[in-house]
Amino acid sequence: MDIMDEIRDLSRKYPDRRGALLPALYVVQKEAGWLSQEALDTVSRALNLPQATVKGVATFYAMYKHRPMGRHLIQLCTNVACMIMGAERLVDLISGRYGLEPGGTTDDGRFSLVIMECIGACDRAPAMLVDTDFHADLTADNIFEILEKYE
Amino acid sequence: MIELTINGRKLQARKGMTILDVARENNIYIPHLCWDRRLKPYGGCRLCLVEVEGQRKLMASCSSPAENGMVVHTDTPALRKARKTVLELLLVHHPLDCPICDKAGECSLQDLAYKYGPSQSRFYGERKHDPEATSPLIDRNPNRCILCGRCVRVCWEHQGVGAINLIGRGFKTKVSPAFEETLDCEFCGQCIDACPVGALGAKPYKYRARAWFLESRDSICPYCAVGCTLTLDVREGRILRVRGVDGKGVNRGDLCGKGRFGFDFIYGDSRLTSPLIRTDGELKEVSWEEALHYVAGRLKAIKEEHGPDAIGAIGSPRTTLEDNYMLARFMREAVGTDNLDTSARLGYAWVLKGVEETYGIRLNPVRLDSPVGKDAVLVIESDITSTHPIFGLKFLEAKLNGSRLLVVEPRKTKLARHASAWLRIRPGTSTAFLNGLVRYALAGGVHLKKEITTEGLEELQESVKDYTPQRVSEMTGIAEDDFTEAAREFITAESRLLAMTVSAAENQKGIETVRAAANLLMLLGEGPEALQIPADYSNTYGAWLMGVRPLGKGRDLYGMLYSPGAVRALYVMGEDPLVTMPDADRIEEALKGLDLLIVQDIRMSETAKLADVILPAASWAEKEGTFMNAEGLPQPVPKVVAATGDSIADWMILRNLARLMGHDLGSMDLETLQDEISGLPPETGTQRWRFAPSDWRLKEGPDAEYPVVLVTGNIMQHSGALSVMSKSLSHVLSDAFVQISPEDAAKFGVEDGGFIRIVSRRDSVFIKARVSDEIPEGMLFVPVHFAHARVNALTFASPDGTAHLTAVRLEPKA
Amino acid sequence: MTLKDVIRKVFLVEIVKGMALTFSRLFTRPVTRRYPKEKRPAEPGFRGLHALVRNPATGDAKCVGCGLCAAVCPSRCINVYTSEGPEHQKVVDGYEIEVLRCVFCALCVEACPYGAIALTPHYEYADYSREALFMTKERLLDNWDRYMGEEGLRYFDSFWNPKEAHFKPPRGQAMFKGRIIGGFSG
Repeated sequence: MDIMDEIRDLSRKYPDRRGALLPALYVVQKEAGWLSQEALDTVSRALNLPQATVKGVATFYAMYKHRPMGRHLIQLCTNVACMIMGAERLVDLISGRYGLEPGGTTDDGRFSLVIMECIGACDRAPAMLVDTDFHADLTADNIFEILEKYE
Repeated sequence: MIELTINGRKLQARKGMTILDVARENNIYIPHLCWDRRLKPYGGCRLCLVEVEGQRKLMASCSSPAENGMVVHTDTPALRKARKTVLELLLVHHPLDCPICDKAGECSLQDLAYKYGPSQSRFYGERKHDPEATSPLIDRNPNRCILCGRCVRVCWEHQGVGAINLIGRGFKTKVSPAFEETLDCEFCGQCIDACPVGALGAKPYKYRARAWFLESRDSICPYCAVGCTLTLDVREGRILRVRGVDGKGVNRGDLCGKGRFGFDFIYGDSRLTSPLIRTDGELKEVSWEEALHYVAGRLKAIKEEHGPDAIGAIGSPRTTLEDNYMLARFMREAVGTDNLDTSARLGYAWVLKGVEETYGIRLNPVRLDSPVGKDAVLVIESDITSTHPIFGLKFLEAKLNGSRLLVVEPRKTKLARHASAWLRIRPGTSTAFLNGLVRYALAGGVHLKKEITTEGLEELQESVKDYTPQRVSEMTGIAEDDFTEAAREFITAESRLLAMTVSAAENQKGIETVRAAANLLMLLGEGPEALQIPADYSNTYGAWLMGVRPLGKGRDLYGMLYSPGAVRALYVMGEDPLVTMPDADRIEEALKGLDLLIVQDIRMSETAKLADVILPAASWAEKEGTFMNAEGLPQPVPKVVAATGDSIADWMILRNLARLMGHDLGSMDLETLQDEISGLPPETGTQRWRFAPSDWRLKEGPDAEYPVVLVTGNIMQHSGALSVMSKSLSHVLSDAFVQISPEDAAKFGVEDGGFIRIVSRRDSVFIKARVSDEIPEGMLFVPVHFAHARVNALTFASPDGTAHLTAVRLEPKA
Repeated sequence: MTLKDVIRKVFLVEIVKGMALTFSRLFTRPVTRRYPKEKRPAEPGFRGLHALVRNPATGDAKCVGCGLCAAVCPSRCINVYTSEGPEHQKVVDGYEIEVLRCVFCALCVEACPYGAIALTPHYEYADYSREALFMTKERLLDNWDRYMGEEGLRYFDSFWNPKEAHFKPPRGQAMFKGRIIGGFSG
C-alpha cells in the first residue's frame, strides 16, 4: 500500500488529523529508519498539516531520528538502576568494540547507539532495546553474544 | 452563575471562565506571559500561578476553571517567591541585551523582572542561535525567545497558517519554519504582536526607535473594507510602525500584513508634490493657483460648448467620506451633471442591485462576526482570507467553534485548506452550483422547514429545472455525491450563512451569482443578514452612500470609460482605471480621446501619466476624514503626519475649484462638511422578497482556441494598485506573476519562473509563470496589482454585471 | 538719643572702624580671581559641557543607542537616532543634545549602562548663536577628544565610574550588567 494511503487510513482512527501525527511519523520512519525532509513532507501532505507542525512534533520526541541511522538501533538505558548495575561500562565496551560513540553510527552502517532514559525494566537492569527486541540482565559477557546476532 | 472570592473580593463568573478571565474582568492583576485572549489556554509560563485555599499546589490561573466557592489569592509571599523563581529560570538563557533590543520599554519580561525581582539568574546558560536575517518583514532573534509559544499558536490556531513551530526540544528549542528556511508565510505579523519579548520584530522598524520615543495614534486601515483600527507609532512626524492593540477596534487587535506593513505607501517614491499641467506634451510643475484657474477655465469652456453632461467624474473607494461627498456636490452643483461613479460599479454595485431585486433593500452591510456560531457556512468562490483577512479569520473561528465550513472554490485557498468540505469547482461556475442547490431544495431532495410565500416561485422553478445534480456536476466539475452531500448539509442546517466577495478586481462572479445566492437563501427562509458580501475597499461602501454614482440619468462607469467619445472631460479622483479596471486598451482609448483629463491623486499613477492636469492630494494619515467600512460603520481617520509636498486634502481642492468655477459650495471646513454628511437621509428601503431567476452562462467560456480561463483577483499582501507603493509589501511581492497548475504547465511546456505569453481575444501580455498546486487544471490566476504587467488588457468589461471570466490561450516563450 | 550715641556720631567711630577693616585688607591675599586670565579648575563631578565617550578600540562612540539618557532626561533635550547597519547591527546615526535646554542634572550620565556619555569639566562654551550650542554626534565626540584628555579621564573615572563595572543595585532591582551576547561591538 502507498504510504500516503496508509497514513490517511490511520488518520480515520483519530478524531482530528493532528492526533494521527505520531503514528504517521512512525509509519514513515519505518521506511528509511529516520525522518528525512521528504518523509516529513509526505506526512504533512497526507495529513494536510503545515510542515512546521510536523517538524515541531517530530523534533520533540526522542524516538524520531533526524539523521540516517544504522541497520540496527541499540538503545541502552543508563538510568539509575541500570547505571548501578554497570550500564556505563557496557557503553564503553560497545564503544570500544565497534568504534561507536553514543549517538553515533558505525562506519559500516551496522549499528547506531542511543543512550535512552528508563525503559521500565529496572528489575532486570541493565537493559536495552535492539530495534524492537528487548534484552535484559546484560553483562559484559553476554552483550556481544546478543549483538553479534544482528548483522 | 459561579461565585468565588479573589483577594477577599466576592466575584461572579460565568461557566467556562478561568480564574484569570475572572480576575481580568474585575481588574485584578495576575502576571502572565503565554496567555492570549484569542488562544486556548496553554499553561506554559507558570507566571499566572495563584493560591487556591484547600489546594496544596499553586495553580495556573489561565488554565484552571473558576469554580463555585473558590477562595483565590493572587499576591502572597509564596506566590511572589514562585514567580521570582520562574523569572529567574527564564533569565537563565535570556540575553540581557535590552540596550539594543527594540522591545525594551514595552517588554513583558523586562517589566516582570522589574516588578518581581531578579535582574539576573543565579544559573547561567547561553544559547547561540544565529539571528535570522533573510526573511522579509519579520525579524527573528531566537536567542531572546522564552518559548512561550504565543507566536506559534497565533500562527496556527488563530491565523490557520502554521508557518512556524517550536523546533527541537530542551535548551536547543527554537521557533522556526520547519527546515529553518526563509519564512514563507502570509506576513501578517500577528506573531510580532504576540511576542512578549524581543524575539520577533518588524524589520522595517528594527533599530529605528525606542518605545519611549514614540507617540501612538489610532487610525483606520486604508486597505480593505473591514476597517481595522491601526495603532500608528509616530516619531517626529514620521510613522515608524503599526501595531494592533488587543481588544481595540472592529478587529479587536488582529491585523493582516497590509495593515501592519503597508502604511509606508505614503512615503512611496511616486508621491506627487505639486500640481502639474501638460504643456507641449510635457508635464510641468505649476502653482496651485495656476493649476486651479486652468482647470476651472477649461471645465467652464467645455461646459459652455458641449453642456455639463460632457463632463464626468470618477470618485475613489480609498478617499474619505468627506472627499467623496464634496466630489458629488462639485459635480452636481458646480458642474451640473450626474456623470459620476466609482469602481464599485464593477463589483459592489451589482451586489446591491442583486440584493435590491431579491430582498428589496437598498443596502446590505455585513456583520463581521456573523460566521461565528452558524451551523453551516458556505463560501462561494471567494478567497476572503486574502481580500478581507480579518473577516476571513472569523470563518476559521467559526470552524474552530464547530461550524461546518463548506468551501466552493477552485483554488486551494486558506479557507479551502481548513474547510470541512472543499468542493473544487470549475472557475466561474458557482452560479450553476447555487442554482443546483435551489433546484435540489425545490425538488424535495430535502424537506424545507417553512412554507414558501415569496413571489416569483413558479418562475424560479422554471428557471432552475435544468440544474439537476447530474447537470450541475457536469457544469461545475464537482462529483455528484459531493454536491448532494453539501446541498443536504447546507439546506438542513439549523442556521446558515452564505459568504462571497464580488469586487472590481474579480471576474468569476457577477450579479447572477448574487441573485442565485439570494434565491437560495430566501427559499430557505433566511433574511438578507445570511448573505454576507463585503464591499471591497476602505471606503467603497461610504463612497456609494455619498452619492458618487449616477442618481438620475447620468452616465455610469461603463458609459464614461468604455464608450469612447461619450464625455469630453473626465475628473478622476483617487482612482487608476488603467490598472484596476478591466479592458485596459479600451479605457486607454477613451482616456486619450478626451479633451481634458484631470487626475487628482496621491501618486503618479498610470492614468495620471495621460492626464492634462494632475492635482496632488494628501493621502491617508495626512488629512482628517472618515472611512465607512463594510459594516456601514463610520470611523474617524485622524491626521497624523504632515502632507507630502504641496498636496492638500481632496475635499479642499474641490471646494477651491468650485469657487473658481463661480459656484461656492458653502462647506468651508471639515466640521460643517461632516454635519452635512450626518444629515443625509438614511437609505435603506423595506424588505420585499421576490425571487429573481438567474441563469448561468459564461460570456467567454473556454473553447478550442482559448482553452484556459483566466481568473483575476487580489492576493494576500496587496490590495488594488495602492499597496504596490509600499516598500515593505514590495519586499514580499513586487513582481507580477500568473499562477498555473502543474498539469497545464506540463501541457503547455511552462517552467516555474519562466515567462509565458497569455493571449486573450483582446490583447496579450508577457508574464512570469508560477507553477502552483493551488490551481486546478484549466485555470490561470493572476493578481491585478502590478501596473507593469497590464493583465487587465486581457479582460473585458461586462456592462450587464455578469461575470466577465476571460478565456485565454498560452504561448510559452519560444 | 543717648550721650554714647552722640559721641559716636561726633567722632565718626563707625567710619573709622570701617576704614580700619578696609586698610587691614590691603595686606591680605585676594580671594577673588581675575577670571578670564585666571581659571578655576573644575572639581571632580563638575557638570560642564557634554561629550560622547570615544571607544579607543573602535574609534567610534561607545554609545549603543539604547536611548535611556533620552528617556530619563527631564528637559527632553536628548535625541538619539539609530538604524540597522549592513551586518544587521545597531548603528547610532545621530546623537543630539540641545545644550540650551539642558539643566545639567547628569541623570543621562547615571542612566547610561555603558558610561558612554560624560559631562566634561569644560564650562566656557558661551556663544552668540543657538546653532553653536546644538551638539551633534560629531561635535560631542570632538568634545571628548578636546576636553577629556588623560586628566579628564581621571576626573571622569573617579567620579562618574561606568556603572556597568562597579555599581551594585539595591537588592531586587532589575538592572543591566553589561554582558551582551553577539549583536554589536563595543
